[in-house]
Amino acid sequence: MSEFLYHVPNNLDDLFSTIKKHGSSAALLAGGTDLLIHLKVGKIAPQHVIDIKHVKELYEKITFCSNGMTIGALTTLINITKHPDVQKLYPALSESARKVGSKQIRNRGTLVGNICNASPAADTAPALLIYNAEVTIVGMNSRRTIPFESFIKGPGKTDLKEGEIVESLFFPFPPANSTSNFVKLARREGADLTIVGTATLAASNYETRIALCAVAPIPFRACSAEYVLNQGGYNQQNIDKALEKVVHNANPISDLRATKEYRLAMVEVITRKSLENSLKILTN
Amino acid sequence: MENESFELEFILNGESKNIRVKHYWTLAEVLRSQEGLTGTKLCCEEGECGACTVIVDGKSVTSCIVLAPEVQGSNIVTIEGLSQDGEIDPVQEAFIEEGAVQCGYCIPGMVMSAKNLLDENDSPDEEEIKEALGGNICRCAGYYRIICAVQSAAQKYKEKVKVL
Repeated sequence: MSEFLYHVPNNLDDLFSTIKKHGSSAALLAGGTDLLIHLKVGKIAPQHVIDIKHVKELYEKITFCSNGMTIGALTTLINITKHPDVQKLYPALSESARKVGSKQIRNRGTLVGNICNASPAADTAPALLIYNAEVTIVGMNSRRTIPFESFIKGPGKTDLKEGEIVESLFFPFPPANSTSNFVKLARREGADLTIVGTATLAASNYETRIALCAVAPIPFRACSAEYVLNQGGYNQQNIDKALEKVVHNANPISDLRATKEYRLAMVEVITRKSLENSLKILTN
Repeated sequence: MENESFELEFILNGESKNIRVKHYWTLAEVLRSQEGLTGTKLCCEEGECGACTVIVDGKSVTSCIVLAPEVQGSNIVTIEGLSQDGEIDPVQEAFIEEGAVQCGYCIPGMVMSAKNLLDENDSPDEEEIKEALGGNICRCAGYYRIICAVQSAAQKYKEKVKVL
């Protein structure tokens, strides 16, 4: 690992001035479960590492208000999986957070860190998409909130400008009489990257949301498939038609985990499984 | 930059420590090279295999991807810190009795993950054991007996509580 200086600011002012001082020669550290690997393999070689875990304005707790839930920049994946209200209200988020890495990784890694890395295979991204999550971004003199859907710009690229950090994520409550889940296909259960990951939400009024990861340069919503189900309901013929559209939206690559062709075949299988899981709960 | 060091205070296996470390050292390096606690193993060195698992403030972590300065003020337990008054921990006893150890390299990490699980959940089912140990790889593939050992350790903990 290359040599660097470790900084541990304890408030936002300190954090922003440290970032400003060191600019592009600094890297931000939260859980470190991706950063340390990038440092070790030499993918990045910053001269400064800035630990944000002790910034007093950033928080680890999960809070609820009258219209939704807020997750802080320091909320770990394990805390998301263990929270009973997250399991109940946002099952796709809870299930996808449980699928990230191993318990040791979830004990350290944060949800915000997972999305800031902007991996095409980020397990939690489809859940953020189906719940219409919003990202609050703060800088030295700025504060803005954007939909998560426009946050990820490409593999490893986000809408964050230099000097900005993600402060929190907001999840509006899902629609009434709806249910949701996440299904992941990987070579093995624990600590493996995703081949295809799908989150779906289905509602009694046919409002449907479908999002996928690991089958395109960025995680995406399958809007044309959603439209088919919103309009025509959940009969078999309509589901088949929607699944065709999902496959059409996917644009996977071949890598060491799976070929493009296998991924495309599995997009249909995994999305069908996720939809059927949702519909099973909905009809009960 | 070479001369810069970080003053690190933490509790290691119940003992207060105040040492100087390089900013870019990992916790695993400090445990093994500075503290001589070589029970914590290094293998993949990228948080995939679990051989370097230790417990930081009650949570299992892979110490190869934690920076030493990050554990400032933390309470750390390694495999060397499990025995009390010269007696090994019930998890270690169970691993021996069940024959859960083959080459042994993954075992300190396995034991720490098992210990962390049993501290949080005194009667885990097989699925919960698999989830808690999912980040620990055994290349001898001795998983069946390792799972048996964790189940047996859970029993031992319960009996110990009854006696107390």
